[in-house]
Amino acid sequence: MDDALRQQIGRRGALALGAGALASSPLWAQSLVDLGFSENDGRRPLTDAFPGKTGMILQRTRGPLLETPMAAFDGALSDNPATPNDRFFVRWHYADIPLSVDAAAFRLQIKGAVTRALSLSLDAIQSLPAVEIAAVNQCSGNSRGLFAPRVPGAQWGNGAMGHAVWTGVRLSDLLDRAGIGAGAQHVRFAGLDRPPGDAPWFAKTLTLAQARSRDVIVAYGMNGVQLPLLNGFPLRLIVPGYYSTYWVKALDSIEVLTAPDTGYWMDKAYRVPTAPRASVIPGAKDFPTMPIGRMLPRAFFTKADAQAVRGIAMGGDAGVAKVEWSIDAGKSWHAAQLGRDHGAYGFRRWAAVLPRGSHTVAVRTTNLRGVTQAADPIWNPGGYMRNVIETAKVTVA
Amino acid sequence: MNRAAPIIALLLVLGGCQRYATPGETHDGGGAPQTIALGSQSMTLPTETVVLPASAEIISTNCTACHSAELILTQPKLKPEQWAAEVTKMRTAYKAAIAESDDPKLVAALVALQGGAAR
Repeated sequence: MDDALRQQIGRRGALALGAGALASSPLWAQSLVDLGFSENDGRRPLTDAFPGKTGMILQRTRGPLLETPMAAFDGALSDNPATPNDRFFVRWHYADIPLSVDAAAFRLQIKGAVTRALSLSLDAIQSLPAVEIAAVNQCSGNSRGLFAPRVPGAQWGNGAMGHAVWTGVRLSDLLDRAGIGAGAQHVRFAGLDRPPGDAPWFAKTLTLAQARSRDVIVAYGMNGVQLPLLNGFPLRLIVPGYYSTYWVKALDSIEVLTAPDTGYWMDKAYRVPTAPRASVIPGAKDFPTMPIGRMLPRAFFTKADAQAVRGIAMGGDAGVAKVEWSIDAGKSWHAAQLGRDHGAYGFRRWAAVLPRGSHTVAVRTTNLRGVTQAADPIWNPGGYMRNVIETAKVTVA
Repeated sequence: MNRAAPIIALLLVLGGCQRYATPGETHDGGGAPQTIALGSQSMTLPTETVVLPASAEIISTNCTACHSAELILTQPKLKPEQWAAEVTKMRTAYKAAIAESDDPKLVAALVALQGGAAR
């Protein structure tokens, strides 16, 4: 595990081994990283082959699953914690994703239980009041490869996440322009990606109250420029504090519903145990579930060596109250230094100054709701919502 | 006044009091959110080069239309019943055209591809 962490954060960086030595590595991949999984199965190629992306961990070519190496998140306490667009993780469910979008022809449909259905051009959307929010976008299954026992699915390390400043318009402004109709309860979102054959169309639904939160926006900007196609150009739903499954990419359909969405992606997929921390006994079945929702606090190492012990933290659905480190297996905790606060939903950099010696250092975040990370692992069959305390081995000379 | 506004915004930023916790608040750039130019985009994705071994033909036939080979090759070791559940899920939830009569052979091939069943 500690070895795994060192590899994840890139102390060894890309292994000297040619990527071609791995059967699951494409010819165009450059080198390997090791995500440090339990079956010694964490080696993945690094690739620059995807448009607008640099140095990404290849999880799947079709539809693209690209993970951000932990080293890409590293920086000094005073550095901006935003993840550059060319390092931002990518996750599509199906292979048929938008490869070309005509900005002039694109329309966002707002329909269903509304007083007047709208078909909005990008110009029309950009004529509405612009707002901006810093928020972490984290895959529901981030860190799935670290579950024990292991579960099937994309075997992410910790890098299926990123922090960006999102620019766009409030969803509530759009809904107000359409006018909420009688009996409206939920709002369903879908994009330009398409399923194979008769597989269920990807669509996600929020309650009307969630959708009307002032933090929820329809974004056309990511870190000051238009979104990369791979991250959802031209529009992406931003649901700060919620897992990325709701952050629908290439958003072109907003449908107000008068009944709950019984579609596959709400009713069957992305569901978690209702139990605390979404955790059940490994192998358990037939437990009550609910759609995955709000994120939990986490702290990650981006560097842990003789020079620096530092990383990034997130509060989940509330700001970071504190980040603490321990070198005595959690018996005593010490406040880490914190970087600038970028709001309730952003990354916050942390750094620890450790005494001399060899340590196993643990780091935990507590958010402003008072929710803190725990050391004991969680388990659920989807491999969702991991937020276990991370540790690293370090020698301070 | 017009000339003073950017200077005031800059001073606010330098004062370190700017946060962008909620939409509408200013951020590092100060003032209103910056204008974002939207232009058409298109891209070409890299082609797949990873293939499954010839011995896994039944997996190529039934699975790789939707899953590229590297995702299949990087799954953790699963027990036969776990693979069977995955195959069933693909058929029922995702409407994959997998003949039920192929299930035993398909599950056996998936287990074999991983070098034997999980303990």
